[in-house]
Amino acid sequence: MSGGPYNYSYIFKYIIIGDMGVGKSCLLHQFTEKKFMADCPHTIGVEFGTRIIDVCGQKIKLQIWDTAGQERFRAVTRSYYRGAAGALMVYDITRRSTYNHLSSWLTDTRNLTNPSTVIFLIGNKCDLEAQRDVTYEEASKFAEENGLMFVEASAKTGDNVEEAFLETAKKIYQSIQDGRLDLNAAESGVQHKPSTPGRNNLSSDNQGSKDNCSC
Amino acid sequence: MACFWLNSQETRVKIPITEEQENTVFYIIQVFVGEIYWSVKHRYNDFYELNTKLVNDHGVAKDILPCKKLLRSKCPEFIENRRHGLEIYLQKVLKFLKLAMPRVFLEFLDFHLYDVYFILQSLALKFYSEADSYLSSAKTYNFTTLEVHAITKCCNTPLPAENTSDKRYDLTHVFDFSSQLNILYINGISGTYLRSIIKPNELMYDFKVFKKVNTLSLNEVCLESIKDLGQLRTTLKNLTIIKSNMTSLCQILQCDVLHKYTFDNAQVWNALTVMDLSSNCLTDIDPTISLTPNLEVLILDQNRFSSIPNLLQLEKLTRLSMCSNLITTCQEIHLRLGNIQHLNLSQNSITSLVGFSKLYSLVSLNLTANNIHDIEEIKYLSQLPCLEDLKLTGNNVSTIVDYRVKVLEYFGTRAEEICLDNEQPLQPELDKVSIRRALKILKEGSTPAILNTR
Ligand SMILES: Nc1nc2c(ncn2[C@@H]2O[C@H](COP(=O)(O)OP(=O)(O)OP(=O)(O)O)[C@@H](O)[C@H]2O)c(=O)[nH]1
Ligand SMILES: [Mg+2]
Repeated sequence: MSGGPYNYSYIFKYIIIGDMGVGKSCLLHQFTEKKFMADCPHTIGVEFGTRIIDVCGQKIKLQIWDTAGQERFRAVTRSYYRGAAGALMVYDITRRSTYNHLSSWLTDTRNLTNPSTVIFLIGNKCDLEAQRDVTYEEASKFAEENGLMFVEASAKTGDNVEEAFLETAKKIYQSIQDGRLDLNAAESGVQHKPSTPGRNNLSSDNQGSKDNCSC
Repeated sequence: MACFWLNSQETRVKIPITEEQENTVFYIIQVFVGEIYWSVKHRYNDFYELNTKLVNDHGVAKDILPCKKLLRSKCPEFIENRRHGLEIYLQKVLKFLKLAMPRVFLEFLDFHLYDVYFILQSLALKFYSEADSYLSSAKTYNFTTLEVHAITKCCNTPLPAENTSDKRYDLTHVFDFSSQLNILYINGISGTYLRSIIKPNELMYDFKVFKKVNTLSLNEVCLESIKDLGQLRTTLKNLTIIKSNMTSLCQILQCDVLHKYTFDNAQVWNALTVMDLSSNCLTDIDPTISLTPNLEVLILDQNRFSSIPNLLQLEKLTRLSMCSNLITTCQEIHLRLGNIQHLNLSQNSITSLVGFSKLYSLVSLNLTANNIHDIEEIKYLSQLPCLEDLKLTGNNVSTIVDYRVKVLEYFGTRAEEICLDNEQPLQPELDKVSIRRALKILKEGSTPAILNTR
């Protein structure tokens, strides 16, 4: 196969969740378009974005569902949790209430996804240091207690945005390699490229990849 | 449109009647989902095949289908009994399979044609295997209004994002594909859809998932059903809206704005260079045209214009087509069109060319099938320095004796550069033109200027 844009070996499905206005859509936009949207309208229901990334020499396509934070769309957005391989849970470091709601977001995620789903906590808007309402230490402790990965990021400056999406993918990829994540399970949120539906056997894919993988 | 997952409590099946066709009895099934219903017909044998699959793969009880009987199967009482039996059969199966809705069963009842979720599943299956071949070439796809409505609805309605364990039917394939399209065609379906009461053109849709579309073509749609086209303002380069009863430009350029004629910089369609609004009901161009300052090509064929509209605000416009309108007079068009190079006014009722005399940038002019009678009219074109391509067929003037020579004569020394009615002038024609010009000069007694002798 040639290295065109359609050559990738896996699809990982992500969801982005969190209170309204914390910057979920901006994070997605920053990640897919490398731009900041200063006046982004509230998401109605769900939105969608994709990007192909490189993890350990493997091309992986991320299919990302950006959900609405508004309470009235909760029923819509809940139906997108199932089958997510990664969940980015976002709060706004300048608004304590968005941090306080994390435990209910986490409960939803744990209930609606499967045990191998990687949950990544993002404290967004870290460019607004002066208005900080939640300390790094506090959030970091919360993440540790709940077994989440964590960074503070800014959709505005782009700080740590790539990292959050890529680290999540690495973790998922590791789970596949360790055999913790079953590719054939309906809810794994991971697939082989659609045009090669027969290739559900991991070993055949790995033969070509290099061993100097850092993850 | 039907939405089974939101209305599974209000979903019913009936078999009210039967129908005989070429010696075969068909049972007409009616499916009701909320306020929507449709019909689908099957023979007994179809039921039998369905039942075999349902019994084998989906745990449906063996003995609920009315049994196969070969004798007397045309007798009305027998058919009536069987109709009743099959109705009860379907009702039982629906109740039993309501949560799973296996593909064989929903396709038997045509859910995949009328239901938001199952239409999307069919699309998902298609894109699962074919998306790459579409996306690696032109990145173009034809959707129906029904399908784009289903996509829109799916983003705003609590549907099970993944209800089968079969990844081929995962709706994400549809969104992934849609988000990468560059060229999007949406085709309306007028009236009711197939055997349902669904009116596809009345269904709302938006463009939220079509993030990378730069070329949009809407064909026979209802403009009132479009939500939020404005999202494409900064990216859309090429817009086509045909056969959609458009009466005013603001319907589309300001579709998401309440006060249509108050503009704001944020509402400019900056990237738009080509717009085709053929086969609508336009009679004039409203002031919203100033929201498309970069337009280069404008096509207004088959509308109801009675004159050429004022397009001076379109500084970059080089090509205008207004075939098959109701244009009779064209006065001082240079005050309306500015720097136009290609003008197609075929199939109108234009009688005089006086208004064209100052369109100095004009390179091609198509006046096929108008009402130009008098050869004298051509003199108004004779001073256009760039004109190279002129079409006059289908006018009375083109039937007079020596028509080509007479027309070419008006262009004097430039006659050889004029392609008339798709034909370059032939040498004998040019010779005749030269002779006629020489004679004329002699007759009028003026000194021959630089006479074109070749
Ligand atoms: N300063 C700063 N502002 C941000 C950042 N991220 C988002 N914003 C702003 O926060 C507001 C809300 O951002 P959105 O991305 O729309 O929030 P959301 O989480 O998608 O909101 P819903 O769709 O309603 O759930 C916008 O006005 C953004 O401009 C950031 O990193 N820094
Ligand atoms: Mg949003």
